[in-house]
Order: sequence, then C-alpha cells, then structure tokens
Amino acid sequence: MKCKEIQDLIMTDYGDRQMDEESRKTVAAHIAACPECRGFEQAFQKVGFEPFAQARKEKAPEAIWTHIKAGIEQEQAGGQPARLRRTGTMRELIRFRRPAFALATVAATILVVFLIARQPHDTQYAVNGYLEDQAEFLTYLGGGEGDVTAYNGNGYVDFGTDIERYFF
Amino acid sequence: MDEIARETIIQAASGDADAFEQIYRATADFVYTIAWRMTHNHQEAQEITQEVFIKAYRKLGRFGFRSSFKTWLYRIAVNTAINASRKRAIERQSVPYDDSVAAVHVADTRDPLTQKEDREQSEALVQSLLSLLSPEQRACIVLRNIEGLSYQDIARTLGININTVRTRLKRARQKLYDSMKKGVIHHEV
Repeated sequence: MKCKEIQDLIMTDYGDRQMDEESRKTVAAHIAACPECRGFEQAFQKVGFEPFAQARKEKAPEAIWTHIKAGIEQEQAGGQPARLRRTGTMRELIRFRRPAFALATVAATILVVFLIARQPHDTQYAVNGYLEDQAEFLTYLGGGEGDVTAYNGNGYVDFGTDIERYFF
Repeated sequence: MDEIARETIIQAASGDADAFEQIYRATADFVYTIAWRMTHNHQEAQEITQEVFIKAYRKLGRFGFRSSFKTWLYRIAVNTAINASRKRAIERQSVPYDDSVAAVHVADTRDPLTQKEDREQSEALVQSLLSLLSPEQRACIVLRNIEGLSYQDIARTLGININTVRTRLKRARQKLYDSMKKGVIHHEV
C-alpha cells in the first residue's frame, strides 16, 4: 500500500480500530517501517483522537423531563405541548405537511404547463397567417371579378372567372 | 447500543407515561450530549432534547420495529441537532458554532494540582476542534469519538452509507490535522 492510503486508514479504520486483525497488522507493519507515516500517525493522534478521549458525556438536566412530561400530559389532555423554543412554534405554524406540499407542487406544474400551452407560438402565427392569406384569396375569388371552375365529381362547375373565360 | 424492551415501547406508544419515562431515562444523556456537542450551548441543547422526545412521543405509534429503536431515536436527535446547528449558523452569518474560539492554546500539563484546569482546557480544545467542522462532519465525529458508535451504527443513525461515514470522518479529521499544521489549533505536549 502507498503512504497516502496508509495515512487515510490512520484517519479512519486503523485509527478507529474498525478493521480486521490481518489488515491491521499490515498497516502497523508499514507504519513501523515508514518514518513519514509514523510521523503522521504520531502528529495525527494529537488532534484526531487524544483530545476526544477525555471528552465527557453530558448528563441531561432533570428540568428537561419535567418539561417533556408536562408537554405530554398537555397533549394527552387535547392541548398542544409546552415548548421552550419560541422559534419552533413559528416554524410549526408555517410548515407545510409533505402531502400538501406535493399536491400544491403538482397543481402548480399543471397550471404552468397549461398557461405555456395557451401562449401563441411562432409556428402558430405562421399557420394563422397562411390561413388568413388563403381565406383572403378565396374571398377574392368568390368576390368580384369572376368565379373559378372546379371539378365536383360530376363535372366542371363554372365560377365565372377570367381564367375560365380565357380557357373555356 | 443496548436495546429498549419491545414491551416498553408498545406501552409508551399506547400512552403509558411511565414506559415513556423509562425510554427517556435510558436515552436522554445520549441525546443531550449530541445536542450539546453540536451546539455548544446548554439552553439550546435542552430545547433540542425536549423537541426530540416530544417528536418521538408523537411518532412512537408509527415505529414499526423494522430497525433498532435507539437508532430510530438517535436519528431524530442527530437530525434535529444538525438542523438547529445549521439554523444557528445562518442566524450568526458565517459563524458556525458557539464561541467561535478556533484558536486555542492548550498546554498538556499533567500536574495533579491543575487537573481541573486541564479538564477545562481539554474541553475547550474539543469544542474548538468541533467548531471547525460542518454540522454533518461534527455529528460523525461526536458519534464516533465521543459516543463510541461503530461505523455501522453511525451509518444506521445518520441513514447514510458506511463509506459515506468513512469519507466524512476522513475529511473532518483531515481538516483538524490541517488546522493544527497551519497553527489554528495549538497543542503542546
């Protein structure tokens, strides 16, 4: 193993004794033979492990249980439990429940998609323009100067246009 | 982690205050220690502990015995403490931890006459080291170095992969080591 890997293990599994005995012996042998890793281990112990070895575990003050018990009794009686935390109360008031939040998100998404779908797009303008042109042309054809001739399945229908007069 | 009897949990879930008190007595110190180490503030640690047990009481009926009860409770505790710690960091704007005494000079004297002073200095060093870490890294260090949980138990408590536990511990300790090398933390032997 390389020194970098050994030093990573010193900071984790080896230092925490979370590795099997055989792997531990391999790492220990490397440390014993490598001055750099030995120096790292000694320096690291001072900041990574030694200070915490003396750290005390705290004892929960009795007052906490008194408050919890009062809160539970109040809750059992149908009220809201007493809270020490003022900010917590405000947070409870403005907090959304997860299903409500999910439902609101879905509704908002559908609304946004609907509104986007309703917006006219460039292609729609082009289609509308084309249809308007066609309608205008048909109006023109059916309007003044004359009519067109079209085959309706049974024969030609005379619309009386100049073209028809020219050809027929 | 010693488990709490299934019967006690069921009784507590059905509203038995004595059974819930048994659960509290068996776990309160752990929860309080986590809260205190995460915030370094006794008032806040008390509020977090209270919040954790109120939450646990409300959710007890939904505990399905699919995991260890203590793991379940400790997860509530760590998450509540991490959230409180984050909120505190936001409120204090970039000061992530109480006191923010990152630079501490600790003389490791072993004179019995100064034992109390030593303990206080040792505590100050622990808190200053923890203050250098993010809430997530701090939680990992507290669970491992102070509470002595195995990597597997830390992973279950935090609801993360065991390799993520390794990564967080490594990064946290690397940060502590780098801080020592840069002279942010002074530790004389």
